[in-house]
Amino acid sequence: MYRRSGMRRKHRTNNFPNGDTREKIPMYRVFFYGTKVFIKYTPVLFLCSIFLAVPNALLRGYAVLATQRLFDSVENAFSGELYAVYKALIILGAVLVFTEIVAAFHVFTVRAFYDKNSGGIQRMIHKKMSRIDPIAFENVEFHDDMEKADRGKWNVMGLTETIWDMLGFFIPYFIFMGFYLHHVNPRFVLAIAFVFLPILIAQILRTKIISKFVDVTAPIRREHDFYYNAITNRYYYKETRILGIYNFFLGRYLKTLKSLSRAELSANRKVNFIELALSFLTIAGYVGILFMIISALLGGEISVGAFAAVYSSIASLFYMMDGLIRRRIGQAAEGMGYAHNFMRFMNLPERESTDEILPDTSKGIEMQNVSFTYPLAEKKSVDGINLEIHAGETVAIVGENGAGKSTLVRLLIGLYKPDEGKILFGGVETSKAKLKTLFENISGVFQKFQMYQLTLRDNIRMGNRYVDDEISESLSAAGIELSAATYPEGEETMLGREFDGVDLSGGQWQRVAIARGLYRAHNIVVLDEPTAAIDPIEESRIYEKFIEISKNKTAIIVTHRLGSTKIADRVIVMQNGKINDIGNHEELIARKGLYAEMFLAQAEWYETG
Amino acid sequence: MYSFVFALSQVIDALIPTFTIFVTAAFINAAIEVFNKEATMNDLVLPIAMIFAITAYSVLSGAVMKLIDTSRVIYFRKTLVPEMIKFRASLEYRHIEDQKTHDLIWRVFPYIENTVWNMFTQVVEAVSLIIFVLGITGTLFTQMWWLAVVMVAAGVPIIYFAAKAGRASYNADRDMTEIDRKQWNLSWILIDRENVEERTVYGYGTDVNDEYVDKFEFARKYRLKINAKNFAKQKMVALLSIVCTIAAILALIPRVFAGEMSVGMFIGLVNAVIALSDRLAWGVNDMVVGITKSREWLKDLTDFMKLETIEGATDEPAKNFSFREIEFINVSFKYPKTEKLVLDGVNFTIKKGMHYSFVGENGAGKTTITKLLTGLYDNYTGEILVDGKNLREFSHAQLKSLTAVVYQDYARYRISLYDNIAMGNIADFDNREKVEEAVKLVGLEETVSNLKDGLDTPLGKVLAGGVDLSGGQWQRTAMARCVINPAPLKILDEPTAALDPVAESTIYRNFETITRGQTTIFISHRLGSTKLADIIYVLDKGKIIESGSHSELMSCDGVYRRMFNVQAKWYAAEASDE
Repeated sequence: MYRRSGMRRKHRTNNFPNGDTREKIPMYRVFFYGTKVFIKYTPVLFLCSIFLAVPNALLRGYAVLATQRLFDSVENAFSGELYAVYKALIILGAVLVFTEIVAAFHVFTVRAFYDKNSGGIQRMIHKKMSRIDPIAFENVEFHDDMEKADRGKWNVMGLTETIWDMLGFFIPYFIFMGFYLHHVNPRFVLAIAFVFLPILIAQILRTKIISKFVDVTAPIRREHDFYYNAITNRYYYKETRILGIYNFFLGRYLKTLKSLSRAELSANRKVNFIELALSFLTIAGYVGILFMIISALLGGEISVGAFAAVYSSIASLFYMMDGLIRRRIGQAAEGMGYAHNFMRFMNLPERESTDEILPDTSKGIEMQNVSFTYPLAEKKSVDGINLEIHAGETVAIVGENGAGKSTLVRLLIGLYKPDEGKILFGGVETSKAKLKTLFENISGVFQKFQMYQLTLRDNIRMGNRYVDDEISESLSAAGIELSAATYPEGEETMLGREFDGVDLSGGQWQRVAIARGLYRAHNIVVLDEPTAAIDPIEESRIYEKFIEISKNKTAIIVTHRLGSTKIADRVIVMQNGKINDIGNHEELIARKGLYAEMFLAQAEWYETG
Repeated sequence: MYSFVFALSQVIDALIPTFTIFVTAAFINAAIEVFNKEATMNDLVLPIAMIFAITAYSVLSGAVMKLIDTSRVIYFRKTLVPEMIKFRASLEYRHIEDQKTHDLIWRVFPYIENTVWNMFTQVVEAVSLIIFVLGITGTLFTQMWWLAVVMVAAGVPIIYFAAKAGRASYNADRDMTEIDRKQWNLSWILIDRENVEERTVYGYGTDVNDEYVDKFEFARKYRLKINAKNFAKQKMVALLSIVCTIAAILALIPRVFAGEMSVGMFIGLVNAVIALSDRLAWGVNDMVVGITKSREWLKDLTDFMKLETIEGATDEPAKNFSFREIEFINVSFKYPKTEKLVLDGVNFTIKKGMHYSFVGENGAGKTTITKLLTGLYDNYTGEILVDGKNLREFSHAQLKSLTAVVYQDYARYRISLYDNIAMGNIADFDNREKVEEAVKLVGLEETVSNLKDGLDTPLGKVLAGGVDLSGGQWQRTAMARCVINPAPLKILDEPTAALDPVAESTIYRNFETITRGQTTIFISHRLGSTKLADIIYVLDKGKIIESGSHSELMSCDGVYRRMFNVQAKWYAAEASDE
């Protein structure tokens, strides 16, 4: 398990203060974090890359020295040794060959460890996702970070790698060159400053401009991406086409594209003008260096060979500096916005747990004066509820849209923590319990059931990945017949069109979801609108089957089909976050309250005669 | 224009190293002469000025070119991307549901404008590199012709192996596309926000993560193996070129001592030849790899552009379209690449002004009928006739104006509530009254009044200040969109699945107003709603097995009666229970 250190999260309540989430994370923290990832997933490759970087840098520096020796020897050869020329050349050749070999290994190592880490970080994103407090998903302010974490991982890696490259490669190179220049003539060290300063200033300014641009345009970008999806994404495709609203979205798409482009152009213009202006400084610096080395040559301070070597080494210094700062650091700095998204994502609140006691489901569930408000919402979704559900009981929860039914269920099983009051789930207080232990014996079929683009077998096994039991029992309980027409490859049939699988209807998908819920071993089961898309005969059969399976098990059913509440021992009627009434079907009908009103509204459509 | 400036500057950039050789040579020779008191300081002015000019040009042109770079990418984005979007929006629907298309889109689409711009720069850079190489080898040629030949010969294997590596690397990407997408699919299961409940309660995170890692590592190792092999070859030939370089310098030395070459020229050439071998090993190599990859990418793009599109797919609906009768005659249909007959010789008639209901088991083919009627698929057998004319002969604009559909998986557009509804009739988009009326009819009034900006509140989390609606509210929004739609045939596919009993009942009661007396097809498992229908068609395994009004079907002992009674039993008086 990956543990963050030095980055304790700040938010532990359900309501996260505004603005706090938009904090900027200093670059060094991103660097430390990235380094830890590199060490975790690719310790060997990472160390190799650093150990190769230094000799790569020194060899490159040494090549300049060897070139100078060659030139010197040529000049001197007129008056003496021809042999020295060949020796110098052989040394230069050896240095070049060696540099090439080391550079090749260096480059390849970096590529390899970069690739491997992209998977490693993705794995961490997944882990983090599964540990985020479920309520955090309801908080709009976090959505941006969640969506961009994926993209931000590249920037975290890029930034970290750039800094390591700077430390391992560029700095040794510049130090070597500094020594070399100093050795030739102490004044020449100034050359490094001449080369360095203008580019550095340009980059600092650039980073500011670009990151402002990224921040300012983030909302437009989101809009822009959505319009693109509204036209091309499979989820919107058919409706957009049939409504004939292609032009509507294209118009908006082009509008956002235009304003994005304008902003991008203007930011880039600013950046480029600054760079252009500073280029003059660079040129002035260059002239200064030239003047220095010429006067040194004419003053007899340096040899012609040294002059030529210094002259050409300045060019390569420029090239290196430019490569480091403009391309590498510039790119890394531009991506800082996304790196922030990633870092903030990794800091999203997790559920604190103090208890790891396995709940004793024979103790039932108890709610004491529980209230709950969604993040950033003003109204309480669940308001002062006291409720006891006994082990083995079947309870139905009904009410109008938005009455708080699903929220109540999420609280009951501990998915959400109450703001006020206490919930005892099998004797364990849910707000302190570890989610994994809490859910050990819970299964469920949810309103937003998933349509996994996997094989039928894998779809069912998502309910319990740790066992590899027969799925046929669950399939038949959910009314899935393995006919060759619908499931040509039986349990191994790929579902969904993403990977050329079979195209299931909404109701067939829901049956798969039910089978998945039943496959999971459980003492308590939650069914949130489990049969909304299922045909009548099958619906009835599934409920009967369900009674049979859940004998001695606790069941909580949320439903709009009031007829199905007859199988419940008790019906809880919700209204505006409060319990309106509790009782069995007959009692509630007799009381002529909200339940009776709803029941009759639906029943009138089934009056025969 | 920009492209021309860019190309020109690349050519000049490429020639600069050659100039530099001569200028450097001139400068160093002059410097030595001054040093030896054979010339005066004035002789140095010209070479220094030239060096200054060359350097100034390189530095400044870099900055200017970057400005052009941005403009160019934006230009490509503006011209190319809308075209590609239009193409995608016009694809035949069967391609949208096809894995091959998904694979192609996966490879072709991300950052298409950058890819195209890169291709352009690659070509220009290639020309520039060629000029660079020619410049230096040309100079070399004047000094020692065979040496130039050796240097060029050393470059050939570099290009050959680089091209091979580029191809192999892109092919590895091709091979791994499906695995990449599967790995992405697993990743999506683990990060999809909509999936919190199942993910948390089922607790499959670790296990699916492991599977993700397996797939990721498989693809990574596959690529690594191929790339490592090719990289090794590339670097071997690069070493060869260095050896050639050294040999070249070796061959130059005697000429310097023979006085046939000045020391300045020697130094200039040595610097140039070393730069050349470095450029061959990295610059030329990377460029060739890039160009080969781009070529392979172009092949994919060509394949993608070969997919069939539909004329008029992006058109707006035609106006004032009406019909008297729609007939399905012996219609059979299979989804592309599948064997199952979803519809198996279906016959039925839809008459203007009547209400129809389709009922049947899950997967009986109910929704498929709407997909044929809306023209999403036209590879059915049998005939679909609208007023006697074959459905296939209608333009897409006409097809769109025939039906208004509330889909089971209706789209939740992340734009304002008003836009979500008004887009049901794009020709009359600004008619606020109609939208407000529709809101009332579907029972969204209270929702609207609770929203901060009323109808103009953005929905979803894309636009600033957006709010999310509940499932029931979204469903009613989709209904309102359908209400607004002037199309004469309304298809409602499970429109009340997420509604509470009271809301559902209200919709049924307002049904006549909602449908404005137009023709409707209602697909529902809530059989209470079928009482609204004049004619009910019962589907089973792609066939229509019963048809008639509610009372007719109830009077004979068939599937419909059985279905209805099963559901009605839930609501029957206590006495008949059990």
